[in-house]
Amino acid sequence: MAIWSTEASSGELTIKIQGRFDFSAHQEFRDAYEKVSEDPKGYIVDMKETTYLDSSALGMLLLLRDHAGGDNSSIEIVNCNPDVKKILTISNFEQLFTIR
Amino acid sequence: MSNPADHLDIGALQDLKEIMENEFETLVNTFISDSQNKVDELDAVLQQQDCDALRKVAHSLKGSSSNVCAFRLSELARQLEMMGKEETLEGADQVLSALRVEFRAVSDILSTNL
Amino acid sequence: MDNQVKAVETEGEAIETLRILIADDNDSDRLILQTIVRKEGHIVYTAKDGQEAIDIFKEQSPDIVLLDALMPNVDGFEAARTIKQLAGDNLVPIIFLTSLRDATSLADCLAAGGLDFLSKPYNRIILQAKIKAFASMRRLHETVQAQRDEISLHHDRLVHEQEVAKQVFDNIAHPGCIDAPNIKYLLSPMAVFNGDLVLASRKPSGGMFVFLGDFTGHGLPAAIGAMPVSEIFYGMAQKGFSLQDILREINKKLKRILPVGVFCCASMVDVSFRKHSAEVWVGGIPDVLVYRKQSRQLENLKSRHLPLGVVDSDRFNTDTTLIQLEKGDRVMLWSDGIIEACNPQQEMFGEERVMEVLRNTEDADAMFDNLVAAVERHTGRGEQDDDYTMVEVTMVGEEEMGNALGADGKSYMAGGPKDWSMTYELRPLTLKEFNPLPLITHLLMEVPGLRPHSGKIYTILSELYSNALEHGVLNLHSDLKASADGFARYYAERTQKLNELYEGCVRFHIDHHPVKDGGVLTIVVEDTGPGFDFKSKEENRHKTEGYSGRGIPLINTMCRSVRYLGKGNQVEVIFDWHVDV
Repeated sequence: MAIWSTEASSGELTIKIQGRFDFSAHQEFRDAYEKVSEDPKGYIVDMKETTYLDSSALGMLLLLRDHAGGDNSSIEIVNCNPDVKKILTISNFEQLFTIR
Repeated sequence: MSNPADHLDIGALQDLKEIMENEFETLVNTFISDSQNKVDELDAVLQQQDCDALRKVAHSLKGSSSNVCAFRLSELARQLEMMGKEETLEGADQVLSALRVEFRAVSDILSTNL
Repeated sequence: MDNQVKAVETEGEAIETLRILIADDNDSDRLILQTIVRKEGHIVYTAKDGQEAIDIFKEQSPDIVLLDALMPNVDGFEAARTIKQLAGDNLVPIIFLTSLRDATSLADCLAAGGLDFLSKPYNRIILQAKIKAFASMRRLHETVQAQRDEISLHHDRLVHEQEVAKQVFDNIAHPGCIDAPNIKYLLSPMAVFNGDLVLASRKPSGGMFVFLGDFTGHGLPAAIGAMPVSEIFYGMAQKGFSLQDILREINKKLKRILPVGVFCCASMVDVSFRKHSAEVWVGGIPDVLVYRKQSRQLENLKSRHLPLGVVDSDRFNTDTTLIQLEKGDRVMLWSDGIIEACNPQQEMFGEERVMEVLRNTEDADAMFDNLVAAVERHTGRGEQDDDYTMVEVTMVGEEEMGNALGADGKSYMAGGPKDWSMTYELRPLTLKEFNPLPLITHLLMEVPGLRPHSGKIYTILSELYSNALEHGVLNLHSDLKASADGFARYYAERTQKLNELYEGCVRFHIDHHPVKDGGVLTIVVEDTGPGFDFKSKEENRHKTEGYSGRGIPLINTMCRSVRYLGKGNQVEVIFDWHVDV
């Protein structure tokens, strides 16, 4: 498991998660969006290399959403594999996030 | 008297003396009487051709004599120990005689060094 | 510089005085060793043979043991074994004193529990280094041991706390009527600490609610949310609230009390045995499955909602799927634990296998057990280690469910007042500042089975009361409300007249008597106002004036009859109700 975040010139913060996204990632994931220099305009969570997602990962996504302004947040979750997508769908997270 | 350095490691003995301080005399006396008993015992076990006992007594004497820096005595005891262990007592009498002589020499040097 | 280092070292060594046992049958060797060790500042005990060494060890329990291998009586090997046994969990470093050189003898020393050797002639520096090393090894061991003891103490305490907590959870978050004949379930005894929750309750009307929840996380944090969920579920279910009301309340509560990121995936079913139907709500949990006995088809009801405790009430959606069920049809709820149950190769059981087992089972009665068995085969574990939860609810005839017995053994018509009447008179001081409607509604809701009708009853009461107060006691004319301007005037006048009120009253006569599967509620509201000519109004009830100004048409649609009595200052509403199952 590894997490990187990169700030684009457009003001968006991209967070990439590699491997299993579960409770063991919680500190790293938080650091990825809390330790940025200025508030990003929006967030992109790139799950291209995310193999698995558990319910605590869903909780972490909610924490990010809260951090990003709750209902006013702009968060895209992109490049999900079918397993990850399924978990997001079961949880109906498309009601809270833009899932592409 | 022969040269003490032929029988004892003088440098090491000096160290031992420094460590033991007042106890050095007790050590020498203990060693001499203890070893005398062992030499007598070696005599007896050799006559009985008791290899195992020979090995044990010689082993013990080997250790204690090495501790008082008597390298030659220790070496002779080691030879007897090996003979006991290998159960070949050929020549053991001669080694024991040499050992007895060596023990006398060591005792003399130690006693006069007090 | 050198001196400084030395000073520090000496200081460091001086701190720890060890108690060291020396066992050697050779007097001179023992004398040398004891002198060296004593000079290092340690306390020395001496023994001349193995037996003496054991005796002294028992008495003094020294920190380090220096043991000659060959000794009379009990030799060093045996003494070492006994000492190790006596030391038990404590680490007592045993160093063999030996001039043995052969590998077998050295191996014997190790086998007997020796950790190291010291050969003759003794070297002071080597001896010093060994004692130092073993002293620090011993300290390390003591630290590890102390930490281990602490951990085990913490663990014991945690287990104890969990046991106590579990009792409390079991009392509050009990699975209700889960043992009903039409339910099969799988729930580990420690499920609550896995965040899993199963609740089942009969409804006052005879139906049944089943709730399956799966909180994020594990342990106490996952278990905590179970308490309010369970309290709300049972409290509201018994009072006759709807599935929507219960879910809304649970969501609201969880959203308020749980930290962001902690939530409850859940599914809930409202089963009606009389209508042979079920309403299903699924939020964030795997598809609820419906098995049709006749066609042997499986239908998936997908999760359509966010889990409970994620969004505020205004965004929370209680839309359900209504399904018709024949006798023998089944509804299955589960947590994702069953799908994620892994075999030793970390391969998940998966939804495909679930469907496969269900499709391949001929006998519907065996489906549940087959599924459990298949999961156990997959994981290679017994039921005790399960952390998956599953419930199967079968549609049965109402008669098979018995006398609608809930967990408390009460019939839906038992308990609570159902045959009574009352009169409640409100005088000026009360009329001025008290709204009697919540109190009366609350009283009526104590009638078992009546709660589902609370909305209608509240509407009836509030229309009748405002008519009696405003048109009766305060004698306001509804004509005023015809224009926007008049509307404001009407309420200004209402406030003013109410403030000045010193005589008059409103009287409620309420009567309830039970009939089979329901009751008849009669509400008469009487006021001390002038009344009105209701007979002429009745002739043109379709007009917008008259009754319509008094909200009566609306009430008319809700009940058996509405009648004006006396001089028009009394109105009687008869409301028939039946359990809605």
